[in-house]
Amino acid sequence: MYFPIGWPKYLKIDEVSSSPIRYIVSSCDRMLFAVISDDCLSLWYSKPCVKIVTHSQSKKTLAKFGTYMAAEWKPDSSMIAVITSNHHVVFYRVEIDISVPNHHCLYVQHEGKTPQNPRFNINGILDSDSVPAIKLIFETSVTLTTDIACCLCVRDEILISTVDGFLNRLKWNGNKNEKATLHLSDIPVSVDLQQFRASKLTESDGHAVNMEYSPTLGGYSLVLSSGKALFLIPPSTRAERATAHAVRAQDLSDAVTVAVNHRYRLIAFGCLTGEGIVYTIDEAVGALEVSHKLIISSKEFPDVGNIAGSVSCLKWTPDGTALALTWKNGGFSLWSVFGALLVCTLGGDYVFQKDSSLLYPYPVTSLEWGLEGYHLWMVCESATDSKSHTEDDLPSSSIESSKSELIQFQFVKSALSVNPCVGNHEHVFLQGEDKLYMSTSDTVSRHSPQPKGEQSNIDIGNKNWQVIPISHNYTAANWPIRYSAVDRAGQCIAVAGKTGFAHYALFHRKWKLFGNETQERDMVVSGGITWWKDFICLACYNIPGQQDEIRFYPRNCKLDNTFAHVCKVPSQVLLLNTFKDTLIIFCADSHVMLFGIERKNTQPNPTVVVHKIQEVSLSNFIPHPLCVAGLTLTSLTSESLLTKAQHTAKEAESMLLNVSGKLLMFQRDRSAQSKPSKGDERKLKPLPFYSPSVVATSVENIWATSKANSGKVQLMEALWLGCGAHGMKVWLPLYPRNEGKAHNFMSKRIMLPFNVDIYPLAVLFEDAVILGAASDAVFYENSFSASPPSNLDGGKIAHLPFCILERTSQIYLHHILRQLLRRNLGFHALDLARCCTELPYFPHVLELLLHGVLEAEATSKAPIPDPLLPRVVAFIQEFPEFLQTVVHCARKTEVALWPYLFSTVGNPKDLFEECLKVGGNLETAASYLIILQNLENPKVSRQHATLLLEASLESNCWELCRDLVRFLQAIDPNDVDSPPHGSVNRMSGSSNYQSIRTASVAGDAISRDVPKPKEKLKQTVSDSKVISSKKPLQRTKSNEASAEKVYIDMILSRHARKLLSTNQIRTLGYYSANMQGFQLVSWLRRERVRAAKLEDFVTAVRDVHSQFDWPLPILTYNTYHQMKKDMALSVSSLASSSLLEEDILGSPTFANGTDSSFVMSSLSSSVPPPPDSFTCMSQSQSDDVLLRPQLSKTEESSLATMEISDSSSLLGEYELVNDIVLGCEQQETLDLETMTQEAANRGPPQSEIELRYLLQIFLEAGCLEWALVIAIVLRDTLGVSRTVNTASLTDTQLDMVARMREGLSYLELWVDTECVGYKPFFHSIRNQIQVLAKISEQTVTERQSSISPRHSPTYELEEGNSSPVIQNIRGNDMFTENDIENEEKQSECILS
Amino acid sequence: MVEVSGHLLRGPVFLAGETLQCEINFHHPGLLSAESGDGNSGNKIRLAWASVQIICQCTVSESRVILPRGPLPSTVDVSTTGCDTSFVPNKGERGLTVLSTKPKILFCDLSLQPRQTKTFRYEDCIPTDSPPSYRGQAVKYSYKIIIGTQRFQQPTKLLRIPFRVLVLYGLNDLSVYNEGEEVAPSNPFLRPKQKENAVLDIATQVMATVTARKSPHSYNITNSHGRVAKLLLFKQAFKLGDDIVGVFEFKEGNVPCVQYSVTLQSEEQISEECRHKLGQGSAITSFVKHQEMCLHVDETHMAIPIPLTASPGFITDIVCLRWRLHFEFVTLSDPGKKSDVVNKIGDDFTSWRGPANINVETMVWDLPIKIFPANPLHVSGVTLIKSGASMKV
Repeated sequence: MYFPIGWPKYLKIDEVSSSPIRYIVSSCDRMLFAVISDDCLSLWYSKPCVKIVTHSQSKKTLAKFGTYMAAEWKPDSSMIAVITSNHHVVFYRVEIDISVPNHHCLYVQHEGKTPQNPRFNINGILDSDSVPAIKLIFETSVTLTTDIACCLCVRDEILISTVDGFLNRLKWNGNKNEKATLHLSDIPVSVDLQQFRASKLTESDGHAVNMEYSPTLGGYSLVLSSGKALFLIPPSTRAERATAHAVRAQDLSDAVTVAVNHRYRLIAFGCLTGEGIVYTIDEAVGALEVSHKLIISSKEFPDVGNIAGSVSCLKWTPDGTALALTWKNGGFSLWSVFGALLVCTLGGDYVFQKDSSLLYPYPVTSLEWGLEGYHLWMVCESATDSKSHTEDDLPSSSIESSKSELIQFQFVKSALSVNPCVGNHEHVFLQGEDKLYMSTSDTVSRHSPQPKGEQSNIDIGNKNWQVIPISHNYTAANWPIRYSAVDRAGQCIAVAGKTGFAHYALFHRKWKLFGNETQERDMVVSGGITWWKDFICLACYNIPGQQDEIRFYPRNCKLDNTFAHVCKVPSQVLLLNTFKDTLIIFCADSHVMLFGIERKNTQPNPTVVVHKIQEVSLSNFIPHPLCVAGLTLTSLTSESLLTKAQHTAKEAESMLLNVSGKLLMFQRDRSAQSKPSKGDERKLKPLPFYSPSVVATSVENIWATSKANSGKVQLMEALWLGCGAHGMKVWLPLYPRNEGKAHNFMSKRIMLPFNVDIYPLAVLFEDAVILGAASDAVFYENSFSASPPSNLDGGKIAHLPFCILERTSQIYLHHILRQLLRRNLGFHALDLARCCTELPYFPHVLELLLHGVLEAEATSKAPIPDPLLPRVVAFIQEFPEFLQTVVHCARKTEVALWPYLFSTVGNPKDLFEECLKVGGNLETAASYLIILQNLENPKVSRQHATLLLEASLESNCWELCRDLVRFLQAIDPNDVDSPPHGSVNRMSGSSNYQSIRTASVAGDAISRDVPKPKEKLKQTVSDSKVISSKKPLQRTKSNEASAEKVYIDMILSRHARKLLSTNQIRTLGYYSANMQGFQLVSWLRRERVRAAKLEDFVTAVRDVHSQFDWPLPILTYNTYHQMKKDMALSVSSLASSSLLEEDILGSPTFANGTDSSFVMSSLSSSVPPPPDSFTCMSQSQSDDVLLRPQLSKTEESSLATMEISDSSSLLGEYELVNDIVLGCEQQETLDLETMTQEAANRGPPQSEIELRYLLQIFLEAGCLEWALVIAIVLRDTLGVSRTVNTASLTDTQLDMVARMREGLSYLELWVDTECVGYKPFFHSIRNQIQVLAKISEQTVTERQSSISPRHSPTYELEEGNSSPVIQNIRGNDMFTENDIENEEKQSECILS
Repeated sequence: MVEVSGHLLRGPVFLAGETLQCEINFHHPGLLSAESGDGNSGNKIRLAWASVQIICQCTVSESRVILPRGPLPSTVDVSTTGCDTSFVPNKGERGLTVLSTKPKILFCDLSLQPRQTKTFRYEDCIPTDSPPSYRGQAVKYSYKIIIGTQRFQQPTKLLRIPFRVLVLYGLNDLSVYNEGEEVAPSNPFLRPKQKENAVLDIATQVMATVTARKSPHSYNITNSHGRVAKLLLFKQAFKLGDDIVGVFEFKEGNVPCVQYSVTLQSEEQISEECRHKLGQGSAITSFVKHQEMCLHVDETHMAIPIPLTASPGFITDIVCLRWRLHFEFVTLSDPGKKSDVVNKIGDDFTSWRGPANINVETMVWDLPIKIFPANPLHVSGVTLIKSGASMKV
């Protein structure tokens, strides 16, 4: 397809004549352009784009002939006929000016003293850079009786239409062919050829103003001055008719211009309304039928008819695949052959920002396509006069006053348009005049070895083009590029221009050209070029041999004929294609030939062996060989003909032929085959083809793949058709459910049409994606403040929109699924969808499917008898994405449609609960919440929000929590029905937790909602909390807003409490950080004695370790020894150090006696607990004991001694002071080593930062138990001492200190028994432990009376750390210690 | 036998500063001992170790470049010594190793059962101060991931995965670009979500900014005879893959221009201390050429695509790469003289015909431009370096 690119090129208009240009017409080979202005005729060369000659009239002849109006070339480009305003036809002869030196070339550049001779011409083909010297010679002129309306060259004659209704025929020598001259009123006109009720045209029908002739249609297409249109069949073409006959285009009365497409046999008329109508000829009856209309939808640009005016020019591209259409007041559009809009410069990105009333391009008076369609020559009015369209002048008069411009638009086109071979179908591959555009996406995803995942997704979205400049060396001599082909991998590219060809490999980034230029000049690629494996296969004409050939060139060798394999063919090849190892060609004699190709690895260069398999004449099915637009072999079969595919390997089962848009399928006739299994037999006798069946009409492109993918058979076996305005069609195979019971009545293939928003250029079968290209425009001027575009002093084109090429893609699966569901083929839809679930955009497909159906059915005015929506919903329910799909779809549709949607899908409340039930679907649930918010009253949505908040708190979705909190807060309390208020009131009425709980439950017993009681529960809890801490609730009760906040706070703090009480402090950290407005410190302060209470230190330490990925310390051999040594010293050192400590702290020592006595008494009452703790320890991880044996009895004793020393120190053993110094030093070195050791097994730095942060928070909040735990986990001596200091200095609750003390002693036990790695650390903090003990003891004594014996906090204190006084109660103590010893000894034995 | 294969997950192109991820598979293709019959092939295989690192090799053309005898050690000695069993990443490579990251050990003593595959993921950051991948005429910088592994009692084997590095200068300190954003929260639990690829995001922004379209620059092109043309360029800095768009105006000129061409060229200059000869010039490489006959053109434009495979401009100790547009204007050397042929044909017509010969002179002009890297994801779309490699040990 064609896409404009860049800016137009402005050509220098004649300096000699200042009169405006009227008309431009190219010679048949499009090498020469005749530009006609009022008084002169100029010839331009196409490339290089220079003017060759200008022939001007003198005043005298101008008066005689009148101004020039239009011209026609003789088919052999040897003459031009110009019609004038003064009813003259002037004939000019076009000749090479042999007087010119340099091989009759112009503009030969001489630089310095050495003239550059033009390159020598081989085979009479001019070098592309040379300009032939041409002269125009006035031949003769013919005078007609009346004014001339238009002229048309038909073979050897010119048809001149005059205003009196005559169609005159002139010979090129100026003689009139009077016999063939017709008058319109003589021609019988009917609706079709069958009807004989033909009528004659009348005076009012006027004369022909525009006409074209088509050899493939066999007649003239005329537009009459009355706006009617005719198809005129001249007398000679049909033997049974002696006279000319015409068929009227029905329903057309405002035609102004016509363009005929020879290849697709279409007649396009431009109308006054600004629309175009394209007719095709019904072959059976000969009537003109509307194929499609060219209408700019109001979405694109409203009111085309009024703003842009009538259609001014229509021109098909040289290959007939696109139609250019311009309007009288400006603007340009380009349509594909069957009416897909490719470009429209009305509106959109083409609107001038400075003056949006200006249309771009300015009014076009004449159009002509350049060679291969790379350029579109336009004659435009100057911008200065462009506003003249507001006046209702006649076109002629406005032109008279205006200046005109000659501009050239540049285009790129899809390689498919001229060379529809296999490789080109698989890539978005465009060819420009000097560049090739390759879409990079599809190639990469193909050869990346990774299974497709996110990567291919990126690639499909990749909009970049890979631009490959075509070798200058090649184009210099061979411009323009006619054919281009890319291989299936998208890595190798071949182009063929005027002569020869060149190829390029993306991985080398090098062009390969013929080494021998003569070989290049001796061949003309005439019928296409394609890749087969690593060979370039092309159909060419051998100029010296005067022979049509098929050639194979290997890619790896030098480009030379010696390596080529040549196969002669009897007639010119028009199309070629490959299927696996078969080459199929279509020749100018309407024969199709099949060849088998075989690669031979001969040395040194590989070659191919080609043998002809079959030749079929198709002349019966083809009106003209030119009409064949596409040819391919496929493995497709239509239903009835094959019993069942035993052919596992894909074979060429059918041949598809696109004849003027009609897709014919020729299927292999295997019935005559006696033994289908014998391959050799087949070779001997090729299988005949059945007569064709028409698969579809209006086909522009076809995609079929020879690749196989067993997982996606349906997609791989499908045939895709691009049908222009009719969208795309897919011919989908339907596989019967179970092989045995295939329904006879069910066709095995189904044709499904669907609309596409892009122009398809490639179909990715496995990825279920269509790729295409589109044209877009950018303004370069907007960034600078220049003069408005009408003021054209310099930089004119910089103010115009710059056309760029975009790559587009579209998923199509939902269209197919919808069509299948509509046809009650749900089973097949399911099959199809299931094989695509792994595609990243599959959920999106489902969404689109639902959305499309919903929009269609919910908005329809009339009731739908058989709605599709339930079926679609049931279909989507088959996939896990159901809930998500529904809600996403709902959120993208109007709220007005929701009731309809949910009446089918089900209650959103249920769906919401489903989401929660499934779990992990919180985001989806949150989406449902928004729907609930819109559909239900606020109360319901708040209930659900609360539910979701809880669920998301559970699963740590902080972002969602935050949003939900915001959501809950945003619900206007005034909207909420009374219940919430009531509940608040009820709650606040009493502050007793228990009573409220029952009360609220009772109150809500009627409503069975699950969430409610929970809510209430939360409310009450936090309520009591609030009251206890601040007690302002009574005051805020009246204020609903703050009540809302309290209500949310309740939920939040309840969750925090839960986290804390289950030791999930890391989660708590994240929770508090992410929940805005949650004051962790103040909350903790409140919870200090509740949730932050820590009973089981060992579990806490373990939990913290695991939560923060913090490794448990390891006791190395070294430290062990150090410790052992240290232990030996411990008796003295500990004692002394503790003593020192005490001195520093200045804590009084008087409490000894009382302490011990108390301990004794309390111990007696609390004997049971120790065994408890033992069992618990032995239960947990007996493996940890492994390390235990290394601790000998001495340590046991050292523990004991430690206790003793502790007490003894208090008793005052001052002799040991000497040892203190020593001990301290040793301890320091030991600490150092321990630290270095620890550094090695520290956790991740992030964890450490978090832990330290939490430590700080807990300290601040006075949650000393937790602070202690974290300090221990961090093995932070300083942290421990800080905690202990806090405990001693502040008004810490006594039982908290006691718990700490108790917890520590449990920890010590645990360390001793299960986690010896902690030993050194505990060793280093033992002073703190003692201090702590002291505090607790002290306080215990102080509050002895107040503490009930049952709740005694101090017994563990005794047990674990074995406080100093124990000497007195040794017996008791020993009992427990012996137990430990026993156990440990056992394990020792086992290990030793 | 073990098949070792490495695969770059994101494609083979990276920006310096990005973290590269490579998936490395060790696969034992052998049959299970029960199936194979003989005991040998079915046995498990043990690999002693595997180690991965990134190296950048700099190869120079001896005739043009003298490498400074500086801190860079020549690896020729290393590569030729017979240490078969140690991990020498640049073994067998030519030239200098200018970058070599810290080797990372994937495993020690891995044993693979038949049909077993072990997958490891290697991750490392490409230093921001690395040179870009470049293949010039005198200097070449090439990057590889080197995966070394060894089976017991066998020599070390190396698997090389080449990749391409683009350097965007100014990415050393990313914090500069985060200024507008909120200050990092002090709460460690509120750590900002580590963006998937912060470097890439910032780099993309930087690239978009530096190559944004600013006010167009117009150049009046004149020669001794007068004004030839006016060129309008919309940017001076481009990304890889961009089109260099310019507008030519010939209308105003009084010196007819017959033809012009614009060539995108890179200029490779060896730093002075590394030059082989004192007066050694720079090496010019032409990439894309746009050529047009413009004798009868008022206004036209060019759009030169910058190949995605090119190296953006850079400078290292050894070499400096610059980009420029090389213009050639072929103008009439005698603009005053009318060379056209105007004939009177009888009384009725006059005919003008283009001249057969024109005397021309060619004028050149070099316009330096800046070329920056593009998003490596887009670039990898076209690079044909395979993003994976494999070997058998």
